[in-house]
Amino acid sequence: MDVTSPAQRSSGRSARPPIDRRLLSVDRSVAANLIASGAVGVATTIGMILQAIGLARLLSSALDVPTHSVPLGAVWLVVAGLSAIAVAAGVGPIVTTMTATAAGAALFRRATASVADPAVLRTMPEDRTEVQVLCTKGVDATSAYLAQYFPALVVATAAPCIVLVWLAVTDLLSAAIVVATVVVLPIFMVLLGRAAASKMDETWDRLMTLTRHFADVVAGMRTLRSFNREARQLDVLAAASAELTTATMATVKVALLSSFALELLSSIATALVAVGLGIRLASGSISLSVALAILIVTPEAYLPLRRASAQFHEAADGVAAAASLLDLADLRTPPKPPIGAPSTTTRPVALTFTDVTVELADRPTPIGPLSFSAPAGTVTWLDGPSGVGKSTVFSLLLNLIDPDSGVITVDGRCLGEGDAARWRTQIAWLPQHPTFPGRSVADALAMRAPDTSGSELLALSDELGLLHLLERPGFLDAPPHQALREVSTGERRRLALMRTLLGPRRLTLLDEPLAHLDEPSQCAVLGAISRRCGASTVIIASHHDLKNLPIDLHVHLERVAQ
Amino acid sequence: MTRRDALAQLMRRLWDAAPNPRRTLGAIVVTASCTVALAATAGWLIVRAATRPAILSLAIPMGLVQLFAISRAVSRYGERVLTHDRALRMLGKLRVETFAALAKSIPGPHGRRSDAELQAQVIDDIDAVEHFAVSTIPAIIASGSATLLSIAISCSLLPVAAGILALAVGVVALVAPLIAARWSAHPAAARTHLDRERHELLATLVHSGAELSTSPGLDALTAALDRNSTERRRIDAALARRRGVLSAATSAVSGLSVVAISIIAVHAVHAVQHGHLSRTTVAVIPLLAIACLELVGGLTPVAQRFSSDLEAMARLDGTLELPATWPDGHGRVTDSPVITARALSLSHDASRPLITGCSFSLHRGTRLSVTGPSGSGKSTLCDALLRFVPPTAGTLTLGDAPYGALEGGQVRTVVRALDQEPHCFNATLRANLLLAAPDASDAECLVALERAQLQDLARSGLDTAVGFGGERLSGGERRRLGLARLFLAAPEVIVLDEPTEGLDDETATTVLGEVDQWSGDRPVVLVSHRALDHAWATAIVRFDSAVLAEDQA
Repeated sequence: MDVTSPAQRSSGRSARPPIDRRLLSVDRSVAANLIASGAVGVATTIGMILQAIGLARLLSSALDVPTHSVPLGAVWLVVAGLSAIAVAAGVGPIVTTMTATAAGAALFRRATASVADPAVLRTMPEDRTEVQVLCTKGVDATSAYLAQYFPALVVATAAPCIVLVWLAVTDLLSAAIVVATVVVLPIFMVLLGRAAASKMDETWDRLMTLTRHFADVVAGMRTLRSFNREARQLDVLAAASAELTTATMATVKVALLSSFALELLSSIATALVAVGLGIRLASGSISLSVALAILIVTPEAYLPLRRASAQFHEAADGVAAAASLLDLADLRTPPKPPIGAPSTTTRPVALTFTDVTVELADRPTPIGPLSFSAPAGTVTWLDGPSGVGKSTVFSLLLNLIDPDSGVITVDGRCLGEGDAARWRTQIAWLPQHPTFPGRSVADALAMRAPDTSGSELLALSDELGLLHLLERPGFLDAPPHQALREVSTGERRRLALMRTLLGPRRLTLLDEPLAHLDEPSQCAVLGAISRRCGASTVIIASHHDLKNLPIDLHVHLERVAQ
Repeated sequence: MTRRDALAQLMRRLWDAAPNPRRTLGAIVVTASCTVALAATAGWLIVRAATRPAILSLAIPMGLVQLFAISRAVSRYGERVLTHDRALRMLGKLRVETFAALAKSIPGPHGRRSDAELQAQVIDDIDAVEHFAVSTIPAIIASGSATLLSIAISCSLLPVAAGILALAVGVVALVAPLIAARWSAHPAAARTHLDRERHELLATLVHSGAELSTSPGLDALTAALDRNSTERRRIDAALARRRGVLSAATSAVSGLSVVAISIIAVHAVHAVQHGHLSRTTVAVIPLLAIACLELVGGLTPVAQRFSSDLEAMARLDGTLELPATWPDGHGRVTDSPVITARALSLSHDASRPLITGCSFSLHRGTRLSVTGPSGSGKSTLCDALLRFVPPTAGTLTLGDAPYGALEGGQVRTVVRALDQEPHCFNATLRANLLLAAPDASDAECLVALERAQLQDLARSGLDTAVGFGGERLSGGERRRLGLARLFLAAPEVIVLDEPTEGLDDETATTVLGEVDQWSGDRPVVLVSHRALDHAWATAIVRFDSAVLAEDQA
């Protein structure tokens, strides 16, 4: 399969402005830090002017025949100037970094708060790789953009004004030339910035697409190799990489062209000033020290603007990522206030589904209307052909999605009203494709019940026929993705079931607990379920017959006729 | 791989990444030289003008100044374009080579890495190498050329001033960056570790968020992310403080040296005897010094990242040197697909064999059933049959050639499998099917889907997107999609790993019937737990707790 084209994705973003004002309100300290950075830039400009005046006086004293001594006043002026520059150079990186880290931390917190809500995560149509990249590289790039570009803008406004003021006081003609030319630069910058913004978006999108594709094909490497398609994917990857290089080069060239144009403009302007100075010097109407000082200072009127433009382009990734990141951060739903006092009860819940229908964008057929009632402590068998929506029922119960119509009540109260996060901690859920988050296998197994003792773990594993696994040296302490490499699918599912059977469970949801298991294992599992889930309301979705497990309710889901 | 080796490798890669590397090098040198020449000429010009010569004699110097200014702008543009292009091409090649290296080692013990590790490599490490290639190396080359030219010009005018300039450059370009690199080595390493941890925590959040929400683990994870963020902030602040101190120091050194040079130059003008400097050149060396030190001052900020960037390169090189799980031989497959296994032993690692002494033969008409308790190695046998994982003992032959001598791709044109959990790529149904048979027509794809009992999917069209990892399909649908792939691929030897899992009895029976009909007399290996699935077997291999038991014909 080929890398999907990013064309469709960028179109939605063309409407937004190139500089996102939401960035400035990301953190309280950002504004203060920006002002501090601006002050640092201004101090550098003033220091540079002082230094230039002193240096000019010092050097032009070489042409003064009467006095052979070095003018000390000039030397002190230079030292004052260079001290200001040195201090600004020292403080500058610190302030910049403080802005960057404050903004980065705030953005990261908000973005991960969105991602940490499983209901929000479920709505993200693209796969998860993009979210991960956005929260790492995107955050870093955006905070660098914020920390370097916006202060550069402030300095680019203030510094030329300071230079112009000094020039106007020193030499009106030069000031006039500089004013006339310096107003042209921002126009160029804006035009080129607009041209660059869409290219930056495209480059970021291509990078996202490439990363996603890479992750996908590496995850499916075994399948690719089984059909001898890995060579073809190598070519696809090479082609996509080449396209990314081309797109990035296009962005880079726009950036470089703009700095080239700005540099040329400022050289021409400086040359104009130099010509004027040269002629007047030659005719004697201006002194060397003034002329030398003006010549050293004039480029500094343009340099801040050029630097701001360069920062904008250098922060290309941040510019492109900022909008996506802020949109992600805005997805966070504020937590609902819990109704009444937090309950510490461990009684099983009573569930009712009344005419519940759900239509999901990514499933062809809608589900429902579904109605059933599961009293507290009962076992319900959810049955139906593959793909009919059994897992969707579980998603509804976990409050990951809301039903389109109908009502789900838990202990008489509507499910959507309470605090979803607290409700989920009371559910024991065995998903169809369990993952094992945790530092070690022991952590992963005790995820819902951190106080589980080692002997309890071993006892439960014995019931499920997994004792030989847990007794392997180093198995419990190894990181999960490593230890589980050598575990078969059936063993994996039983390990996940172990995790589900430990910890508080007012409601137990088991999605295909008997999948991938042979006869004896299936019996062991059913035995463990019946022994340990007595005090819980259990719903089991299963193709397999549940044999002699006592079932109180059998719900059969049918596909809605088209 | 040491950092020195990584550096050497990186330089070699950069050199070979694009044609005409000397042109890039030349552009960097020309830009630096133009900067220096511009400063010298401008300084000379302005003072010459002050001596009130004939206006026309200033025309050439003015022209030179303009020439250097424009040349600098043009060559800077050229240099940046060439440098970026070279670096990006090198990275493109690195990505492709990383993929190829992973392809050789997956499936296998070395190749499997967590999602977070892969992300960290493909994004962070490549970014670090890009930064090194685009910023660090050109800065070093430019500083070197600017310094040489400045000192040469200064030497020819006033050796003492050249000496001071050399000293200042030594401090700013060598001492300060070395201190920066040494000072930041430890925090940078800590930061890399934190970055890795951040990737892992995020990967866990993103993949397991829903499951974690049923436990106190989700809050713990968010807390861990917060701690990671705070710790990174602390390290960044420490690095920034060090950067600031060095920045202030180098700025002060540069400024003071310019003052010293200016004073010496002025004295030299007034000196009558040795060390005399002509009046018009008094401003040349100070302005040269300013330009040169400004350029050279850019080395300290990049020095902080020097060692962490090189370690990123070392890590990438480490991936590229991953050993292949079962290196290919060169043999080609003969026509008769008879697979024979004799005394086969398989294991995940040497200490714990899964299967020992397994023997069977697959020829026309064989229907081999493989059963056994879960975890006994049935899927590992499939891996061996597909020439992914080598057996630890015994022989496996295809035709007359042992598997070891054959090329993996060749074996896999003959033998194809339905995996236990077939991977569905984030693409359309059609793309997922054409994987197995690139030349299949739409009609053939639809027939394969119908055969695999996926009529609903067939009805929704071949352009249906299946989502990342096939998340828009149920588990049973994914498995049947894998079966449809197999129908399209039509291999000579068919291996089925739990084909009926996730299906109700009725569908399962229909599916097996289709397989039976379609396979004809081609050998089939069926791994399954269901007793019914073994009704059609001609031979059974039963794995019982690490020792193979029987082979009944």
